[in-house]
Amino acid sequence: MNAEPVDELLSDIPAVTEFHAESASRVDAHWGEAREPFTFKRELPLRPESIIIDLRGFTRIVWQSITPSPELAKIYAELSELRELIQERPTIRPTILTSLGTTGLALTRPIAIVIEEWDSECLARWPEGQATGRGISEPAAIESLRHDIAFLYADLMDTDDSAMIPELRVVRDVLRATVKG
Amino acid sequence: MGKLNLRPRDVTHALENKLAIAFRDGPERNGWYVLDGRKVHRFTIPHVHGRWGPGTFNDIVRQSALSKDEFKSLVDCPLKANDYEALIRERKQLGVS
Repeated sequence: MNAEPVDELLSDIPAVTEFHAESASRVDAHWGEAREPFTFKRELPLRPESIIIDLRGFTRIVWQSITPSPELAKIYAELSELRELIQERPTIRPTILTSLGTTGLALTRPIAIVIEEWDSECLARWPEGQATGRGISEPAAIESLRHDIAFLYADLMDTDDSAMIPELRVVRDVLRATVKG
Repeated sequence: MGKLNLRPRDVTHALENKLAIAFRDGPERNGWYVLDGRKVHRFTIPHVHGRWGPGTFNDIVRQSALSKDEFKSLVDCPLKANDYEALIRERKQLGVS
Protein backbone atom coordinates (compact mmCIF):
# COMPACT_ATOMS: atom_id res chain seq x y z
CA MET A 1 0.00 0.00 0.00
CA ASN A 2 1.12 3.45 -0.81
CA ALA A 3 -0.10 6.57 0.99
CA GLU A 4 0.91 10.13 0.20
CA PRO A 5 -0.36 13.73 0.51
CA VAL A 6 -3.07 14.37 -2.01
CA ASP A 7 -3.82 18.05 -2.49
CA GLU A 8 -1.86 18.29 -5.71
CA LEU A 9 -3.01 14.85 -6.94
CA LEU A 10 -6.75 15.47 -6.60
CA SER A 11 -7.03 17.51 -9.77
CA ASP A 12 -6.07 14.40 -11.80
CA ILE A 13 -8.67 12.15 -10.21
CA PRO A 14 -12.05 11.57 -11.89
CA ALA A 15 -15.26 12.38 -10.03
CA VAL A 16 -15.79 10.09 -7.08
CA THR A 17 -19.06 8.23 -7.35
CA GLU A 18 -19.23 6.04 -4.27
CA PHE A 19 -18.59 6.61 -0.61
CA HIS A 20 -18.84 4.88 2.70
CA ALA A 21 -18.38 6.11 6.24
CA GLU A 22 -16.00 4.40 8.62
CA SER A 23 -16.84 6.68 11.50
CA ALA A 24 -18.75 9.83 12.19
CA SER A 25 -15.71 11.96 11.51
CA ARG A 26 -14.17 10.05 8.65
CA VAL A 27 -15.57 9.40 5.21
CA ASP A 28 -13.79 7.30 2.62
CA ALA A 29 -14.40 7.76 -1.06
CA HIS A 30 -13.88 4.83 -3.38
CA TRP A 31 -14.06 3.98 -6.99
CA GLY A 32 -12.71 1.15 -9.10
CA GLU A 33 -14.88 -1.54 -7.54
CA ALA A 34 -18.41 -1.82 -6.27
CA ARG A 35 -18.97 -0.60 -2.72
CA GLU A 36 -22.01 0.09 -0.62
CA PRO A 37 -23.40 3.49 -1.62
CA PHE A 38 -23.23 6.25 0.92
CA THR A 39 -25.24 9.47 0.85
CA PHE A 40 -22.51 12.07 0.89
CA LYS A 41 -23.40 15.20 2.81
CA ARG A 42 -21.84 17.97 0.74
CA GLU A 43 -22.21 20.53 3.49
CA LEU A 44 -20.05 18.40 5.83
CA PRO A 45 -16.73 20.24 6.07
CA LEU A 46 -14.23 17.72 4.75
CA ARG A 47 -10.71 17.84 3.46
CA PRO A 48 -8.76 15.11 1.69
CA GLU A 49 -6.28 13.50 4.06
CA SER A 50 -4.50 10.94 1.93
CA ILE A 51 -4.77 8.93 -1.23
CA ILE A 52 -4.17 5.20 -1.11
CA ILE A 53 -3.49 2.96 -4.08
CA ASP A 54 -3.69 -0.68 -3.03
CA LEU A 55 -1.80 -3.63 -4.51
CA ARG A 56 -4.68 -4.43 -6.89
CA GLY A 57 -4.48 -0.91 -8.32
CA PHE A 58 -7.66 0.37 -6.69
CA THR A 59 -7.50 3.97 -5.58
CA ARG A 60 -9.01 5.42 -2.45
CA ILE A 61 -9.18 8.92 -1.00
CA VAL A 62 -9.51 9.27 2.74
CA TRP A 63 -11.51 12.35 3.68
CA GLN A 64 -10.90 13.82 7.10
CA SER A 65 -13.66 15.87 8.63
CA ILE A 66 -12.65 19.27 9.92
CA THR A 67 -13.79 20.09 13.41
CA PRO A 68 -14.53 23.78 13.04
CA SER A 69 -13.75 26.38 15.65
CA PRO A 70 -16.84 28.22 16.97
CA GLU A 71 -16.04 31.12 14.62
CA LEU A 72 -15.73 28.78 11.64
CA ALA A 73 -18.91 26.93 12.64
CA LYS A 74 -20.73 30.25 12.64
CA ILE A 75 -19.44 31.00 9.14
CA TYR A 76 -20.55 27.54 7.93
CA ALA A 77 -24.03 28.17 9.37
CA GLU A 78 -24.25 31.60 7.76
CA LEU A 79 -23.06 30.18 4.44
CA SER A 80 -25.77 27.49 4.56
CA GLU A 81 -28.38 30.16 5.29
CA LEU A 82 -27.05 32.33 2.48
CA ARG A 83 -27.12 29.38 0.05
CA GLU A 84 -30.77 28.76 1.01
CA LEU A 85 -31.63 32.43 0.48
CA ILE A 86 -29.96 32.49 -2.92
CA GLN A 87 -31.93 29.41 -3.98
CA GLU A 88 -35.12 31.28 -3.05
CA ARG A 89 -34.31 34.19 -5.33
CA PRO A 90 -35.40 34.19 -8.95
CA THR A 91 -33.51 35.33 -12.00
CA ILE A 92 -35.30 38.49 -13.04
CA ARG A 93 -35.15 40.17 -16.43
CA PRO A 94 -37.31 42.59 -18.38
CA THR A 95 -38.80 41.89 -21.77
CA ILE A 96 -41.48 43.26 -24.09
CA LEU A 97 -44.92 41.81 -24.78
CA THR A 98 -46.26 42.73 -28.20
CA SER A 99 -49.52 40.79 -28.49
CA LEU A 100 -52.30 39.20 -26.46
CA GLY A 101 -52.22 36.02 -28.54
CA THR A 102 -55.43 34.02 -28.67
CA THR A 103 -57.40 36.07 -26.14
CA GLY A 104 -59.30 37.96 -28.86
CA LEU A 105 -57.85 41.26 -27.59
CA ALA A 106 -54.96 43.33 -28.90
CA LEU A 107 -52.38 45.68 -27.46
CA THR A 108 -52.28 49.30 -28.62
CA ARG A 109 -48.56 49.40 -27.82
CA PRO A 110 -45.89 46.93 -26.70
CA ILE A 111 -45.75 46.65 -22.91
CA ALA A 112 -42.79 46.14 -20.57
CA ILE A 113 -43.10 42.94 -18.57
CA VAL A 114 -40.83 41.16 -16.09
CA ILE A 115 -39.85 37.50 -16.27
CA GLU A 116 -39.07 35.77 -12.95
CA GLU A 117 -37.38 32.42 -13.41
CA TRP A 118 -37.49 30.21 -10.32
CA ASP A 119 -36.11 26.67 -9.93
CA SER A 120 -39.42 24.97 -10.60
CA GLU A 121 -41.60 27.63 -12.20
CA CYS A 122 -41.62 30.84 -14.17
CA LEU A 123 -43.66 34.02 -13.61
CA ALA A 124 -44.41 36.76 -16.12
CA ARG A 125 -45.59 40.03 -14.56
CA TRP A 126 -46.92 43.26 -15.94
CA PRO A 127 -46.48 45.56 -12.92
CA GLU A 128 -48.20 48.56 -14.50
CA GLY A 129 -51.35 46.54 -15.16
CA GLN A 130 -51.12 44.43 -11.98
CA ALA A 131 -51.35 41.20 -13.98
CA THR A 132 -49.35 38.01 -13.53
CA GLY A 133 -48.99 34.74 -15.39
CA ARG A 134 -47.45 31.51 -14.14
CA GLY A 135 -46.17 28.40 -15.86
CA ILE A 136 -43.48 25.79 -15.95
CA SER A 137 -41.65 27.70 -18.70
CA GLU A 138 -41.37 31.27 -19.97
CA PRO A 139 -43.73 30.73 -22.95
CA ALA A 140 -46.32 29.14 -20.61
CA ALA A 141 -46.02 32.02 -18.13
CA ILE A 142 -46.39 34.61 -20.91
CA GLU A 143 -49.45 32.83 -22.28
CA SER A 144 -50.93 32.76 -18.78
CA LEU A 145 -50.15 36.49 -18.41
CA ARG A 146 -52.03 37.24 -21.66
CA HIS A 147 -55.11 35.51 -20.27
CA ASP A 148 -54.75 37.28 -16.93
CA ILE A 149 -54.64 40.66 -18.70
CA ALA A 150 -57.76 39.71 -20.69
CA PHE A 151 -59.53 38.59 -17.50
CA LEU A 152 -58.61 41.78 -15.63
CA TYR A 153 -59.58 43.97 -18.59
CA ALA A 154 -63.03 42.38 -18.84
CA ASP A 155 -63.53 42.54 -15.08
CA LEU A 156 -62.53 46.20 -14.60
CA MET A 157 -64.33 47.46 -17.71
CA ASP A 158 -67.43 45.94 -16.17
CA THR A 159 -66.95 47.63 -12.79
CA ASP A 160 -68.32 51.05 -11.85
CA ASP A 161 -65.91 53.69 -10.58
CA SER A 162 -67.72 53.69 -7.25
CA ALA A 163 -67.03 49.97 -6.85
CA MET A 164 -63.24 50.22 -6.89
CA ILE A 165 -60.64 52.15 -4.93
CA PRO A 166 -58.81 55.04 -6.69
CA GLU A 167 -55.60 52.98 -7.06
CA LEU A 168 -57.56 50.41 -9.07
CA ARG A 169 -59.07 53.11 -11.28
CA VAL A 170 -55.52 53.96 -12.34
CA VAL A 171 -54.97 50.32 -13.32
CA ARG A 172 -58.30 50.32 -15.20
CA ASP A 173 -57.19 53.47 -17.09
CA VAL A 174 -53.86 51.85 -17.98
CA LEU A 175 -55.73 48.81 -19.30
CA ARG A 176 -58.16 51.01 -21.23
CA ALA A 177 -55.25 52.81 -22.90
CA THR A 178 -53.26 49.66 -23.62
CA VAL A 179 -55.79 47.00 -24.57
CA LYS A 180 -58.42 47.12 -27.27
CA GLY A 181 -61.21 44.65 -27.78
CA MET B 1 -36.40 36.09 6.02
CA GLY B 2 -36.75 32.35 5.52
CA LYS B 3 -39.15 30.16 3.59
CA LEU B 4 -42.86 30.60 4.15
CA ASN B 5 -43.48 26.89 4.74
CA LEU B 6 -47.22 27.25 4.21
CA ARG B 7 -49.57 24.69 2.75
CA PRO B 8 -51.64 25.62 -0.33
CA ARG B 9 -54.79 24.41 1.45
CA ASP B 10 -54.14 26.72 4.44
CA VAL B 11 -53.45 29.73 2.22
CA THR B 12 -56.62 29.12 0.20
CA HIS B 13 -58.62 28.59 3.40
CA ALA B 14 -57.32 31.83 4.97
CA LEU B 15 -58.12 33.90 1.88
CA GLU B 16 -61.58 32.40 1.47
CA ASN B 17 -62.63 32.37 5.10
CA LYS B 18 -60.72 35.20 6.75
CA LEU B 19 -60.76 37.72 3.92
CA ALA B 20 -64.02 36.46 2.38
CA ILE B 21 -62.52 36.23 -1.09
CA ALA B 22 -65.02 34.67 -3.50
CA PHE B 23 -62.77 32.97 -6.02
CA ARG B 24 -63.89 32.40 -9.59
CA ASP B 25 -62.59 29.20 -11.11
CA GLY B 26 -60.66 29.19 -14.36
CA PRO B 27 -57.18 28.00 -15.30
CA GLU B 28 -56.30 29.82 -12.04
CA ARG B 29 -58.56 31.10 -9.27
CA ASN B 30 -59.30 34.83 -9.25
CA GLY B 31 -60.99 36.85 -6.53
CA TRP B 32 -61.18 40.38 -5.14
CA TYR B 33 -60.55 41.65 -1.65
CA VAL B 34 -63.52 43.98 -1.12
CA LEU B 35 -63.70 46.74 1.48
CA ASP B 36 -66.68 49.05 1.98
CA GLY B 37 -68.24 47.54 -1.14
CA ARG B 38 -65.23 48.50 -3.28
CA LYS B 39 -62.69 46.25 -4.98
CA VAL B 40 -59.30 46.83 -3.37
CA HIS B 41 -56.92 44.26 -4.82
CA ARG B 42 -57.06 40.98 -6.59
CA PHE B 43 -55.78 37.56 -5.57
CA THR B 44 -54.81 35.09 -8.27
CA ILE B 45 -53.91 31.70 -6.87
CA PRO B 46 -53.45 28.22 -8.36
CA HIS B 47 -55.93 25.47 -7.57
CA VAL B 48 -55.07 23.64 -4.34
CA HIS B 49 -53.56 20.71 -6.23
CA GLY B 50 -51.83 22.95 -8.79
CA ARG B 51 -48.23 24.14 -8.84
CA TRP B 52 -47.32 26.19 -5.76
CA GLY B 53 -43.63 27.01 -6.06
CA PRO B 54 -41.74 29.68 -4.10
CA GLY B 55 -42.44 32.19 -6.90
CA THR B 56 -46.17 31.60 -6.56
CA PHE B 57 -46.07 32.02 -2.77
CA ASN B 58 -44.03 35.22 -3.19
CA ASP B 59 -46.54 36.52 -5.71
CA ILE B 60 -49.48 35.83 -3.39
CA VAL B 61 -47.69 37.68 -0.57
CA ARG B 62 -47.13 40.60 -2.95
CA GLN B 63 -50.82 40.60 -3.91
CA SER B 64 -51.80 40.72 -0.24
CA ALA B 65 -49.82 43.95 0.37
CA LEU B 66 -48.31 42.31 3.46
CA SER B 67 -44.76 41.37 4.40
CA LYS B 68 -43.89 37.66 4.47
CA ASP B 69 -44.11 37.60 8.26
CA GLU B 70 -47.48 39.34 8.24
CA PHE B 71 -48.80 36.97 5.58
CA LYS B 72 -47.64 33.98 7.61
CA SER B 73 -49.51 35.44 10.58
CA LEU B 74 -52.60 35.83 8.45
CA VAL B 75 -52.51 32.17 7.41
CA ASP B 76 -51.38 30.78 10.77
CA CYS B 77 -54.08 32.77 12.58
CA PRO B 78 -52.63 35.50 14.85
CA LEU B 79 -53.50 38.18 12.27
CA LYS B 80 -57.30 38.48 12.24
CA ALA B 81 -59.51 39.76 9.43
CA ASN B 82 -60.01 43.13 11.13
CA ASP B 83 -56.23 43.48 11.68
CA TYR B 84 -55.74 42.90 7.96
CA GLU B 85 -58.45 45.43 7.17
CA ALA B 86 -56.75 48.03 9.38
CA LEU B 87 -53.38 47.41 7.70
CA ILE B 88 -54.85 47.75 4.21
CA ARG B 89 -56.77 50.92 5.14
CA GLU B 90 -53.52 52.42 6.37
CA ARG B 91 -51.34 51.24 3.47
CA LYS B 92 -53.78 52.22 0.74
CA GLN B 93 -54.89 55.37 2.57
CA LEU B 94 -58.53 54.34 2.45
CA GLY B 95 -59.69 55.88 5.72
CA VAL B 96 -62.45 54.37 7.85
CA SER B 97 -65.95 54.27 6.47
